[in-house]
Amino acid sequence: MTGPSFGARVLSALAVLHWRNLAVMIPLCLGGVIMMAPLLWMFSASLRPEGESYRLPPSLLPDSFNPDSYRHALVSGLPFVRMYWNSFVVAAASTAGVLLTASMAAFAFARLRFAGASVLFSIMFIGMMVPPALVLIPIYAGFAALNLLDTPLALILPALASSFGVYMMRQFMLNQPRALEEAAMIDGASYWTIYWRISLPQLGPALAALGIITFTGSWNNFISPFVLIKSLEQMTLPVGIVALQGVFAGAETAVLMAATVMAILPLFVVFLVAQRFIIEGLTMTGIKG
Amino acid sequence: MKRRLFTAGLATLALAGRAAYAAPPPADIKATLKLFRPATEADISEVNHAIARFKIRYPNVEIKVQYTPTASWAEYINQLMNALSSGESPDVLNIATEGVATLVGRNLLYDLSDILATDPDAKELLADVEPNLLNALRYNGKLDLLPTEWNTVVVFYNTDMFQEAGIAPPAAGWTWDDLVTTAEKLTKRDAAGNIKQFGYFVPGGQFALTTWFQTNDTDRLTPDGRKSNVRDPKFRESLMFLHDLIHKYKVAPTFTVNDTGYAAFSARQAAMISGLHPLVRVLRDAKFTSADVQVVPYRRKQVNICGVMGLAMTRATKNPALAWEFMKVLIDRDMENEIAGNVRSIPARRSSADLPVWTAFPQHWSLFYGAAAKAKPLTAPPNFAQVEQIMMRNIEAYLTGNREIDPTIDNLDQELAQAMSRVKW
Amino acid sequence: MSGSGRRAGRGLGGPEARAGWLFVAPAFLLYAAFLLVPVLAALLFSVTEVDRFTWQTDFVGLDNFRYIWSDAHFWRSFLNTFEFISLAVSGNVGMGLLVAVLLERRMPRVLLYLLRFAYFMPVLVATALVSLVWKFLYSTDLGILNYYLRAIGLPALGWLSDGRIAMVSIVIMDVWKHFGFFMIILLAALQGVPRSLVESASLDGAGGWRIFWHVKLPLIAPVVLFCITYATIGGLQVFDSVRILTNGGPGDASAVLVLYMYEQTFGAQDLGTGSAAALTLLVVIVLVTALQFAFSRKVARE
Repeated sequence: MTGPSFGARVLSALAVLHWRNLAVMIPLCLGGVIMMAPLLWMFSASLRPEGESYRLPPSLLPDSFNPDSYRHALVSGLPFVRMYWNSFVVAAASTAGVLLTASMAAFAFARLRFAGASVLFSIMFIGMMVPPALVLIPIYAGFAALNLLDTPLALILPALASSFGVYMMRQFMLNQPRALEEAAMIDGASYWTIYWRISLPQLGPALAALGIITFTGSWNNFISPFVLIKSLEQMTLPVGIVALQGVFAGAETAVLMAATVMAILPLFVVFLVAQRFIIEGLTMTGIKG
Repeated sequence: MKRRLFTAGLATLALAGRAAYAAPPPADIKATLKLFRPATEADISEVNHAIARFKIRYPNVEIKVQYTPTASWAEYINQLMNALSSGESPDVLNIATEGVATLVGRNLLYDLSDILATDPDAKELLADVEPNLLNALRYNGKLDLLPTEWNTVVVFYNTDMFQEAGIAPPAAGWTWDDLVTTAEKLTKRDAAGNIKQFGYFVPGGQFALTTWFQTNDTDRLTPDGRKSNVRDPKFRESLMFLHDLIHKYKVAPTFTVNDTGYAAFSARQAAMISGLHPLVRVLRDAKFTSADVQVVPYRRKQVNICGVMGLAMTRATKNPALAWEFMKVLIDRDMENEIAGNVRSIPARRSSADLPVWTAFPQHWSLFYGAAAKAKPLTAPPNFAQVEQIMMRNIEAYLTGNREIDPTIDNLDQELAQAMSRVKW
Repeated sequence: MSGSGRRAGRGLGGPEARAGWLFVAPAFLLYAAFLLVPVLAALLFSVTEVDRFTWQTDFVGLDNFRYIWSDAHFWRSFLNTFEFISLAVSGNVGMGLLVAVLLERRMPRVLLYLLRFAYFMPVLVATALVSLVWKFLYSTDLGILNYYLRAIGLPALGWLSDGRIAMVSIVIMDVWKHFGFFMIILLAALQGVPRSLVESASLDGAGGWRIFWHVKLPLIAPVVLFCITYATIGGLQVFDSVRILTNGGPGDASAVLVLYMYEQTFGAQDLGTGSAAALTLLVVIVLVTALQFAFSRKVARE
């Protein structure tokens, strides 16, 4: 990749030190630290013995280092590792499902012409405004009748009804040039081939963005598994961590925090690694508004 | 002759009736039993051990446990109702005093009266339990639950702080005024005038707060649990006293709903708090040895509160005899001893509350089970969840200084009356 | 779906139309099953009284609506919701824009990535898990914020205990949690402004602020409006943060509509009134969004 030369990069780095820039950079960096402060506190609380966490004045560095809480969270009566796996399965399946169905629907809305397209899209668009809490009870009743409660499907299927996914993919596709697809259509390729071989690869950044939004939403979802899942074998992380709090409170803060830190880490890693794609995808969709 | 045949016939019939309950199913029976239970570490390990014991007798029975993680009984009851109304009704379930009215009122529980009268294991358990505790599980005179563990509220105090201030620890029979004077002596300020150590921590949970009503011979509902009682001047007096602790005497920190104060006590920021037995576990794990307990102070009536956790069978169960056998394992001596060993709640059996692990800490451990004989259960109507919401919301508004006492009482009365009017008795 | 005759088949009934329907089918069917049908069910529930245990339903007409519309607590929740979105949307989009503007300058790539990550991190964390920390931050007598306030001589604030500022405290946490998302979108939009326009404006003698106001902002206006719409929809549905920080308190100073809905359905076990409240909320969301769309179309035309 032909990027800026090393000299240019050094100059760019030095440009940061220009006084006008500093006036902005210092608050920015301070702001960044402040943003992370609650999360840093959580991390240090996970390493402290009980009682020390809430002491004032607060100190970021623990007086006594106690990583026992992590071991405790992993081997406590609650099957933490199992819940980790459950969260992962549900989130991964939801993400794959949404990416596939949303991109297919977007392909239809953005590239194909058919009767009722705009009506269908408007109906799907309204779904973005429906509060999730509204649909939960009827869904519960429905799954209970079908005996699907307490299964990963109960969490995955409702997640696939994603208006936002369809909207986002459609926006992105509308912004992309149609030339390649038109050419393929003239050449007589089947619609599926066009979709799979041409449109989908072009959607890269949008897929990454929608992917992480869906994955994060599913990973952090509390209410749905709380209502729809009852057995420990199928429980997901947020619900499991609440369970660690116990019925009459008085939970060990350190263990809670350790579990929370472990629950948060995967998302951070994914985001760090895929930052560029995700941001590219997020931005392209906002443009048409 | 005929007479003897007749009485023999009667006796046989009677025996047969009893035999239907007394005869356990065969050991090789194949079935599935569902248990509904809170999801905490202690619960899970207790249940796992119980299942292991049960499997020895009934190896072909599968036990499916529905664990519900929750921070409040209101939510637990709600989840339980969900389960009971779906096709996945549990066979055996755990519920505390707070939910008894809801379940029994709807006729959801299996009638245990015959079993309790005849089964020797049940009788043995009930003999080992303080009879007064059973009142917390009765509704309309019926007892359809067996107690497993229970809780009461006492005042925990920091012995170091008392020594430092040179005052004697609270004595049994101490009054509200005693609490105020003691707390004032224990509230410490730093150079700038900010409070570093509070004398008392007003509890944020309904259970502990209720002791402040009970010891003033009042409560939020009338004793039958049907009507709002907040217009009672004694109720008002209780609320105003708590308000004064925070705002007038300034010995307690700002009121926060659902904050038990355990964290503040562990961090040595409060000298006294009203707490339940789980705090003993927290303190023991944190190696906090300078703590002891005393009964709650009183104004008009010296009384303790109790909330009992019970085990019940559902009417919807398809294997009542088998479910009963499982229930027995969940309340046997091993289980009770394990409950005592977990040092979380107070075991229902008196004998388990004598174990060394239990008596090790704090010094006045006998106060816990000792409260059982005279304890008064928390009043829990069928719409307990809604009542709790209304109570806590309004009390919070008043105790945080956002609303005056009269509008609070008015609002409470109105909301409670409306809620109680929608209950189907 | 291959072969000749494709051109002729566009529109109704031809292979293209069939393909269109087939491609949309999975998404739409799932949507219908897990969103449309439940909404219709909620509509049904709202005009009935349901016994949650026996599922026995009685038709009660508009009784549920009458009940909630005469409930002062409902109207307080309604008003609070609007107070919340006006504060939260301005906060989220405003902060997002501010930080985006500040970040849009030359700096080493690594630093940019780190800063972007720092500001975006809260978005990735589950609200339920982070709120414990915020409760400690906000605790009136034993919390971190007041500790520092007192240390520098300022009076302590009742962040969550003072009814007048409880809502603001919740908004602060909401903004902390969400503005990173908007910052990223707006930063990219700013970076998409053609350099030529910026350069010609600065050659004309315009300073940074005027360039922003007259050149950049109009160009990114559609994106800003999109952010506002998205933030509004999210704000109208706020639940987790309110539930955990204050549960609507103190009193009902921070009660919001979704909380009311939850309390009715899961607390009072009343499906009818809960659904009625949910439908009211849905209608409000649709109206507000429609208004915003009309407004943004008007602005776009100018």
